[in-house]
Amino acid sequence: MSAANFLAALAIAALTGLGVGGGGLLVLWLTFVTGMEQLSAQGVNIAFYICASAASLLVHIKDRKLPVGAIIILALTGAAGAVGGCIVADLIEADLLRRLFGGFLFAAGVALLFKKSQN
Amino acid sequence: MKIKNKRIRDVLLGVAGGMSGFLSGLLGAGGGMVALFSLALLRPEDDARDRFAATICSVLPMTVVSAVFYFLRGDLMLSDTFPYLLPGAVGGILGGLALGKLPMLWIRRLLAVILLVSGCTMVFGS
Repeated sequence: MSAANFLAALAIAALTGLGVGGGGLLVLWLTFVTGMEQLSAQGVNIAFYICASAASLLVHIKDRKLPVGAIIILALTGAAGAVGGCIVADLIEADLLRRLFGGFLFAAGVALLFKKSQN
Repeated sequence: MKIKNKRIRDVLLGVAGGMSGFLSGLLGAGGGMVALFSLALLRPEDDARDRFAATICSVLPMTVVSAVFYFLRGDLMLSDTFPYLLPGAVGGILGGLALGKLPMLWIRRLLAVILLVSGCTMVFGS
């Protein structure tokens, strides 16, 4: 692995551990910079995300006051939803939904960028 | 939005969790944003940094589910993945430590930039 690859992965993992996401950035890096195929990059990205977020939890569990009840609800229903999403992904072409949701994320980013400070 | 009835709040959190996981499984992205925004909406009393950490805890099981599906389909090549695990783990710990140190405004700005990049990628990507 090149130094540039290592540093890019390190920076993206730091964003993941910070809680702002960033997993998608690794897919961009792998496809555009290293020339990896899209599907392989998504596979690497998913394992990478698990590794980075699990490592960050070592810190978060010690340093943060986590709302355990809410996490259990979100995690259990989220895991069930993910099973449904993965099954549906094999059955339909979700291209339009992906673009619409991308537009929503972009709008949320713009709104957040100009939002006044809060809690 | 302050919902006093705990049961109603938990049901809404469950709906948000299901939606978050579904999007994560279907689109491979966006689950964390739904979880984070629903925590901000339904649990405004929590510290903002704690919500970011809670989002990571919540999204991890959804990602594990997606990883199992990727693996079963043959799209998760472990040999491609191994080189990225060390920087992933070290970076994850550094990010975890940074959450307690960076000003909240910077963290929000970073989140906004990630949303803009992710949104563009999803809209214009192939």
